[in-house]
Amino acid sequence: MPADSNKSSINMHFKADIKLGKNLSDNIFQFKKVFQDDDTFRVRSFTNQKQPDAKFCVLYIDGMVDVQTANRTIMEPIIQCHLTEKYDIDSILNHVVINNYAEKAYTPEQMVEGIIRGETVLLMDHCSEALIISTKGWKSRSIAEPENEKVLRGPREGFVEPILVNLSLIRRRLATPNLKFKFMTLGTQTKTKVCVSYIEGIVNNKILSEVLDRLNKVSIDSVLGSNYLVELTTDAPYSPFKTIGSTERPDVAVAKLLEGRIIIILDGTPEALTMPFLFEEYFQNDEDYYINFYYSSISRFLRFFGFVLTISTAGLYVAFMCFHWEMMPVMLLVSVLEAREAIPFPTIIETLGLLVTFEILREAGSRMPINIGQSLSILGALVLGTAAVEARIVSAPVIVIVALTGLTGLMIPKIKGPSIILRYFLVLLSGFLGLYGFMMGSIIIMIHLCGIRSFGIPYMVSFTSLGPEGLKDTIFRLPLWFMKKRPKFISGENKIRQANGGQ
Amino acid sequence: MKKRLLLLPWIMMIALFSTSCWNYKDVENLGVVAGCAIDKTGEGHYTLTVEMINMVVKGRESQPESVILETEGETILDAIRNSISISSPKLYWSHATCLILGQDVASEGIKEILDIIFRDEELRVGIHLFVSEGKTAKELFDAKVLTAVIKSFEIDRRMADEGFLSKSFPVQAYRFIDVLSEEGISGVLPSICITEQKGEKMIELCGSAVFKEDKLLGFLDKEETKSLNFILNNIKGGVIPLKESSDGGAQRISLEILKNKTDIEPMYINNKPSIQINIETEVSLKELNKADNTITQKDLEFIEKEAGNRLKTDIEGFISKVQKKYNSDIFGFGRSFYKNKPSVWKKISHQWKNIFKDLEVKVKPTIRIMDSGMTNTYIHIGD
Repeated sequence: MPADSNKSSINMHFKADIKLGKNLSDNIFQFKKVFQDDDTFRVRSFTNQKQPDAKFCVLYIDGMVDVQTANRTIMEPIIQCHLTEKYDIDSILNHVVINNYAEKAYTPEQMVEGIIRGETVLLMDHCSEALIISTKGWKSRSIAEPENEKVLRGPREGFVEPILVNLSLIRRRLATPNLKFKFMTLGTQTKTKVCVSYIEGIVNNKILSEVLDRLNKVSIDSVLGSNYLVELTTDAPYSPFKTIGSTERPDVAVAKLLEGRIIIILDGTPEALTMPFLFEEYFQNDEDYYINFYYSSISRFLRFFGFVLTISTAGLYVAFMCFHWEMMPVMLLVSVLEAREAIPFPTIIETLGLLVTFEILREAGSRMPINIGQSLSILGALVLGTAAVEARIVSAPVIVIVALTGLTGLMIPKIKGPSIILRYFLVLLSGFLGLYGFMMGSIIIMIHLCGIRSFGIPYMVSFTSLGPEGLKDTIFRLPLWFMKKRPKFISGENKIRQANGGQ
Repeated sequence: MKKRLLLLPWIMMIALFSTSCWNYKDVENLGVVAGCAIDKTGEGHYTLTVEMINMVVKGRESQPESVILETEGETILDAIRNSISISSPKLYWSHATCLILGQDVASEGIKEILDIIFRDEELRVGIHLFVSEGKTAKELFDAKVLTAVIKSFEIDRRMADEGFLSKSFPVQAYRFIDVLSEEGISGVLPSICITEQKGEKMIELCGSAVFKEDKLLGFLDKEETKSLNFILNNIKGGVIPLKESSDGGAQRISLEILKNKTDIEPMYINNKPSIQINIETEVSLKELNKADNTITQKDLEFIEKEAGNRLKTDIEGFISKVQKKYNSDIFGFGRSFYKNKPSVWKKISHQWKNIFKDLEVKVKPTIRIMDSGMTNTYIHIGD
């Protein structure tokens, strides 16, 4: 329903303006009226050199077209060719224009949209039809290594903004005709191209139809970034955890496709969305599969451990310092007492204050130019850390705890959001009820995690399902020859990854 | 459905607020007690001498400092609470490591002290108990220790190293309570006293204190305590020094104990109970000097025999002393009957006091030299 209403509103918008007739200058005038006050709109009229009466005109938007292509494939052949007496738009299309993509446009809406998208519209005198000829040629960034997902070993290519480049990056890695790209347009104003990609046979059809269903229900004026889609189609919109993944790396996208997942690529976003997204994917990294499984298991485990530490260290500290002194070894108690002596604030205020300060530092640093960033880190480390401890405003153990929290939090940039929220949640509960509160909080988090689903797949399925199959690629990354099958619930009919996987 | 959804937060709230005591308290508001000495005044009041850890801020640094405070009350808890009127942070007992009982308190019975240790939620049952050999226990805190700032912690640490000496032994409160409630064994606590070193008073662990039920009878010196440790199978290390005067003048030998296993074997022959103590000790040869430079099998056998004899005389002498002087079964001979020969124990338990006095005890030590340290020769002194 919403999709239909979109289309009708778009059509209505243009219909009122243009009605192509036989008169070329009249037609041009109508287009000019549509693009009124848009100074990038260009009109160029010309004639054939043998028949000066054969008038033509190209309409395009400056900057969106590749001028060389337009000149070589449209103007040059039309001006230089020997036009016979009888010529019409079909003969121009079939014999004159030298371009791999050109088609006849019947409705003015098609023409306007073509112009907007960077195509060139060729109008001809005495003709109420036009040709849309592909001359797209805007500048874009070259393929570079993604900044947010760096690897030591493995491909250095990352997605870029133009959608077709991204699709080619995927296609180059997957030479199978079963790889499907389905296009749709989202956003009533932006009309962003969205591509849903999957591998037929490997994808689970139920999940695929659910994804397409949800995308069809999206009705919004603009889709500028992939998060627009994530928020509008996610299963647990209020959860801090995400149920749709994203990656900037084509090799990761291909790996997800091969597990039966569906990826969505938006035009203008150097990112692919992957779905369903399960909890363990936060901790997986494409480099895990490019290096020896011992080392990748160690770093996988460290990432899990780091997540646990980053959400719980501060909470545990508050709980032990304010409620459970008897559980601290004597010498630890003495050294903590030494540090806490003459500190004006209660532990909970001190901890919360420093955690907020750390977040402020991080936020300030994340968008700072590199040269200013250095002075920021000096300010943060020296002024806030050392000076605050020496002036006995905060105690040294809290600095250590917050530093540990921050450091472990930076280990997995993907899970940054949830870990900040859960950290404060646990600190507040611990400050309120000590270890009871901490345990209560952990139980609430576990219940929440086990309650989420991503496109019908339980979020924690790999950890909670009985049998070793799911666990092989979670806390540890087992050798590749152990992972003979694709994920059970995510993939479709084709479940075997390796030759002897069935046995 | 809506009702159910409302029920969930309600249940969580109840769970949150029914978790017993609410006591948010910053750690600096604790008066951490390290150790305590208990004495009695003339009127029968308890005097507690408490060693508390205090932090002194000196410029940017803060350092722990030992503060001794004295508090008095009709009962122990009364005394503990009375301390609030004389010192600021309320005393916090969970980290107290040692409880030193004065001689007077110990000879009048320590049941009520053990009771508060068991009953109170802050005091730990694992606290180490000591008996002061001097007149009062509080004077111990006037004495010095060498290394640590907090005296109680050093005493506690000495107990941890005691395994290399075996002339004292740690007793935790719950162990003592266990022994008290068992049949056929009496309790022993380590004793602690003041000695002078270079003109200064120092705290010393000086053996053990013999109890009968919960009352103090008397003290054992260090060597006797070592013999006691042999009988109680408490030996983890230690030294057996020997002075041998066979051929070629006197020589001193040290045997370091590596491993010891003591087995108390109760016997009942011709309606007469007796005890055999089998001691199997593995030792290492540590100090030795001799004229020629090889250790022969004969030498080793000789040393083993000598050491065995030494142990036998020491221990047997010690047992007969305890039998005559204290008549308190601190060795657990009665318990060994109770455990191994219950039918015999039934017959003799009611007159165990009299039997123990004249019980025949045989000690059978077996010493085995396992190695001779890192060398197998002597240091040869040429002219």
